[in-house]
Amino acid sequence: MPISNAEREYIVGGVVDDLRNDGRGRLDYRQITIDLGVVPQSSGSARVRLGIIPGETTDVIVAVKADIGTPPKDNPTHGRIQCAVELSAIADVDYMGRGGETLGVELARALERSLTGQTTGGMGSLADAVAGERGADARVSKHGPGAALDMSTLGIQKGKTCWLLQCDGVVLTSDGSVLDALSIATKCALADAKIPKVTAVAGPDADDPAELELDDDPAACSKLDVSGVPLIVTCVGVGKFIL
Amino acid sequence: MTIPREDGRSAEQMRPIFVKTGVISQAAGSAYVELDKTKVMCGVYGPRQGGPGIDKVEFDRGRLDVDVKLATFATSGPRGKVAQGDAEREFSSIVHRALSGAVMTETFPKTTVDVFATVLEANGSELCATIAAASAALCEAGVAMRDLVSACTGGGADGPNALLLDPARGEEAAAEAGVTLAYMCRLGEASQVVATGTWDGESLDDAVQLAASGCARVDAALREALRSSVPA
Repeated sequence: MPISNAEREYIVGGVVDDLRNDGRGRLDYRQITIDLGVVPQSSGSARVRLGIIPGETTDVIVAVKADIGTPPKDNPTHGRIQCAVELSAIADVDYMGRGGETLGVELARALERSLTGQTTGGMGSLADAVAGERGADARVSKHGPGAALDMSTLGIQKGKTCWLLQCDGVVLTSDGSVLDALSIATKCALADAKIPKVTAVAGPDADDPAELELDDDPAACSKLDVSGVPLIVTCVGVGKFIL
Repeated sequence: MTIPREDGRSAEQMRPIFVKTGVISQAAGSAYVELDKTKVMCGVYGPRQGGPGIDKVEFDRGRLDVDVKLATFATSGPRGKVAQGDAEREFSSIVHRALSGAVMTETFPKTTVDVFATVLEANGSELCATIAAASAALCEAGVAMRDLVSACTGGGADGPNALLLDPARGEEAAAEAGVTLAYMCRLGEASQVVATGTWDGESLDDAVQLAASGCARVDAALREALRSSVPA
């Protein structure tokens, strides 16, 4: 967003005096508003708004859908998690079409890394990152130590089926700290998510693939333990100060 | 504390680095970098007419575009995908951020400088090799830069005691934590720090210092190659 030199001086001068444009101090966070269950057709969802001044809020929605997928080869009893972020053209007309794709990819991968704790190869190895993309399902990360969710609770049949959690975020308005809002919304959506109870029923023959029966009863759904899901905080440096 | 490494290096030893510029004749600038068995080729085109969206950039600055692709034959496993995936796009953004700290975009307003890199062989530290190649290529292309950007990775396995400089592919996979530093050696400024895994303040400091020493070596190699490419 282009700003004039006068505006820049105003902002920088304000930061020196511990007073930002919206009246906050340097270390104050904006007011956070969270609504759960905003997308009823998903397994879990949350809408997070940062700030209350109209026109200067960051508004995101994250919806979690639980699908049946195949477990990772190195952890056949674990489930999987994937993230995708879409920057809606509502936020900025530049995001129309493919404009917001690069930023969306970056945000999605940052979220995915925070959830899966993937540290293999760090960021230096492109080959490992690309290999991680090509799992049994497309775009699945390896689950390293310190993973946010206990993936072992999401396995269904060892080596054959598991729960695949797809967290999809949509950025409605963007006024800074988008990654923060997305991480809060992801944590809340996962907390809100209801995973149906599924049982594998063996077919009549021993060779038949087992059928999966989903229990329709909402009371039989299980919830995820999100106590380990991290939150992301963004800081910037202006002159000598950190906001 | 020296731990024997696979290739016989000490913990603070970098792999041999080879830099050659002027490898792509039609590019404004180009460079080929080998970090032991990791090979990256980079070509710089521009400043030239901006692509779509150039008028959305600030009027007094140019645009730096970075595009990195992993060659389909780069790894020893199955053949890679031809189309650029999300990982490569994110990788390109990281390289872009590392270079943005140095490239003086105000010297080519309303135009674009394109940096294209292909990782020909991937054996660890592709990020470092790509940033080094891009720096050398940009310099050869005559794009104004505040300093050359070098990058190096420090990896930690078995806790902070085992800091390894410039991890190879196997060491990277086994590392619990890593930090990649993109550093402008003469200016003494870091343009980017990417850290993964769990670090406490002190060990992160140590790792960054270690990476900075690696960057100094990369910087020396880049300067040597650029100097020798200038006709006497």
